[in-house]
Amino acid sequence: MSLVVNNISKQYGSFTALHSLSFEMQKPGVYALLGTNGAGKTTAIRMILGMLSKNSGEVLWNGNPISPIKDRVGYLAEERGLYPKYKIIDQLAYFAKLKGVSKADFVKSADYWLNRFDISEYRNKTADQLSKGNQQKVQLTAALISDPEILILDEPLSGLDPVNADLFKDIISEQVAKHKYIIMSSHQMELIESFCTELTILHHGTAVLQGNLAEIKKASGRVNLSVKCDGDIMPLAQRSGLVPIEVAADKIEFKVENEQQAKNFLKKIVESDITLVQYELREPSLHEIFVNSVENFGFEAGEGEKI
Amino acid sequence: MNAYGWKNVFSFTFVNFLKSKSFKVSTVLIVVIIFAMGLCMGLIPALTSLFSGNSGNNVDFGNADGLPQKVYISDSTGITAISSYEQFFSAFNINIESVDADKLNEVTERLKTESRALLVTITEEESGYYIHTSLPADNSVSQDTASEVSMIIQNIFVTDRYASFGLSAEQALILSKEITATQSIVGEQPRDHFAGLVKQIVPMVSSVALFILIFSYGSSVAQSIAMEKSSKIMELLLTSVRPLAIIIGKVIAMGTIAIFQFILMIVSAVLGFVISIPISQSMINPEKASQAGISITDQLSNAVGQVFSDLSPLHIIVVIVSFILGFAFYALIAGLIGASVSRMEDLNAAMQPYSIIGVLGMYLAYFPAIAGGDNALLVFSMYFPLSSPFSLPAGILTGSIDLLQALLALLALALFTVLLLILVARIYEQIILYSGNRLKIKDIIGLAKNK
Repeated sequence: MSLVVNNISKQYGSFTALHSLSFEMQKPGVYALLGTNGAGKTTAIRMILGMLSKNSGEVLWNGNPISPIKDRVGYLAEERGLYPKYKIIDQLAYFAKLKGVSKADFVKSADYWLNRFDISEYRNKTADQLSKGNQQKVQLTAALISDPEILILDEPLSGLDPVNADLFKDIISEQVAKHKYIIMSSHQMELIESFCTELTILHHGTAVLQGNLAEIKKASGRVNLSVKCDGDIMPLAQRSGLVPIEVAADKIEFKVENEQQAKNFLKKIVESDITLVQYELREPSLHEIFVNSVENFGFEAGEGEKI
Repeated sequence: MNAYGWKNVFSFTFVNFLKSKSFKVSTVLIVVIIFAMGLCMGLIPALTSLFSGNSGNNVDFGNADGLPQKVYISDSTGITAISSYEQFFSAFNINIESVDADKLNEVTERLKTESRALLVTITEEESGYYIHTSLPADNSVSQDTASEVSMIIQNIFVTDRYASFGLSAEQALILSKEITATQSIVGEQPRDHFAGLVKQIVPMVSSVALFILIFSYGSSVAQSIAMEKSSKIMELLLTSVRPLAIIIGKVIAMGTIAIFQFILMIVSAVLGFVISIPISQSMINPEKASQAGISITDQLSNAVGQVFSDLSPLHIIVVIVSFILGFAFYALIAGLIGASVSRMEDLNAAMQPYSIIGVLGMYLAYFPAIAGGDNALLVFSMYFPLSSPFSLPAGILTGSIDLLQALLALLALALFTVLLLILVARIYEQIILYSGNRLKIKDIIGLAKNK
């Protein structure tokens, strides 16, 4: 099974909402669709789901044009909604029926998910009687009720408390273990880093970075140096040609050109009388990759100067 | 156009709307009001009669303008003298003229052209005495007034009969003979007053009732779609069904509920009217009932029956189909308006054009219908899609248009509805996920041009 997004574009008059986006999921896993606000993530998701018409391109599932109506696709939208005055169980039954789930399967699935999310007691309550977090659980239940093969999660953890955020993460992990194809969009980079193997970063409707997260990080090299010492290391850093990018109370962050530069700096610290408490040379975080990609694109596109 | 899944949208919308408190409360309220109106329709004439103090022995001609100026009396029994009648009726400025039996045909002919005159013939048969009253065809003397006159003549006749006979066995036999009073109308009968009234009331009531149903349930379609859009449920729905399925499912659900409520309204009105009849009869004695209250109720029933007697099952089917198409036509527009707003608070403002075209359509159907007769505007209103949902059912019910014309008008309405559906399907997909300022009509037209 495979999901292929091939050169999809969306134009509103002279405004390009999405420019020729392509990516593939040849095996199950989590694909991250990242971007700044208004970058075109939701437009891309809506086009994948067939809600929006495409100016060009195609979305294929197992080699055929995807049909969210016929293919089993679950979707948790960023802007969530439930019928405020209808019972939770009636709403779930409706969503399941629209997905073609049989009554027997629905009863089984609803029982499982309502218990899994610990909201079984609210099944006969109306949505407006539920807290925001519990409403969010109902919405994820609606996305999962048909046991979809493709799951699209747009900001799945937004607004959740830490306990429920962990519960959502566990459920996403379970879906990954069940070999589901998941497309996830989020501004929580830690979440993306913990689940995603492949990603696309969008900016102003254009993919500015794409590929395997590990490879992207590897390609970026270990250029982030974090040092904590019992003494002033700034003169040593200056002599090593390092400029701090963040000076915190407990440590100083440097951007090194290569690993050799970092090693030279370490040597200078050891040779000095300053006690070294912490030394960490690491790859850039997804957060840094994201910010760099967007800033570089803006700079290259002549949007403004990089500060 | 893919409307797969509309049945699920229909059943969910239908069931949940029926279960909603607002529907239950409004339905009970409407049923009670309509039932009370039906009850009042039957009870008011009887109550009027009861409280007017009218009795069979008192003379009350009501409006003096309706009294006859002359009453021809032909009494072949020889029991009463013409002076007895003159003495009584002179108090009401009614001239009495005695007519010989051989002149009866001549006077009957005269009555065809003479207004405000009656001919009363009193004859004796084996079975009893007969008092027959002939009325002019121009309605210058009402049937009620003619009944009053014949009752008075009957009373005078009985009194004179008692005075002129002793109490021998033969006289007792004469006294025991039953006296039967009958009436007949001379000349060609004009259109019945009540039937004419019903023909005016039916289009009026049906136009307004249809407007209320079409407008309120059409608005519900708009409200439902706007709610799903503004509360973001739409995004979830669109992963399973196309936008067209949503609007079709909702339109059919609301249309079914509107028909259900319309049937409830009719049943309530009929039930109220039927129940009122025995209550009316128990309130006043049969003699009075035959004179006043119940006779009006009966006449109204007869008039309704007379107006609707020509309806065949095909007529009824055409009426139902025209209502369904009319509702679909307006509900599709309402659905489109609902989809054009992103916030519920914008809906009222967005619905203003819908209200305006609805009111225009209703008045276009209403005024030509109450004007009566055949007029070009009435024919236009039957074919014009904005007004035909209101004028077509009434036109068929009252026989203002023949079946062929009704079918043609229905075909036109079906054509406009299908065209609208194609247009709506095209625009709806493009605006359903639109969020931002409320779309104006020119924006929607612009979207219709683009794909």
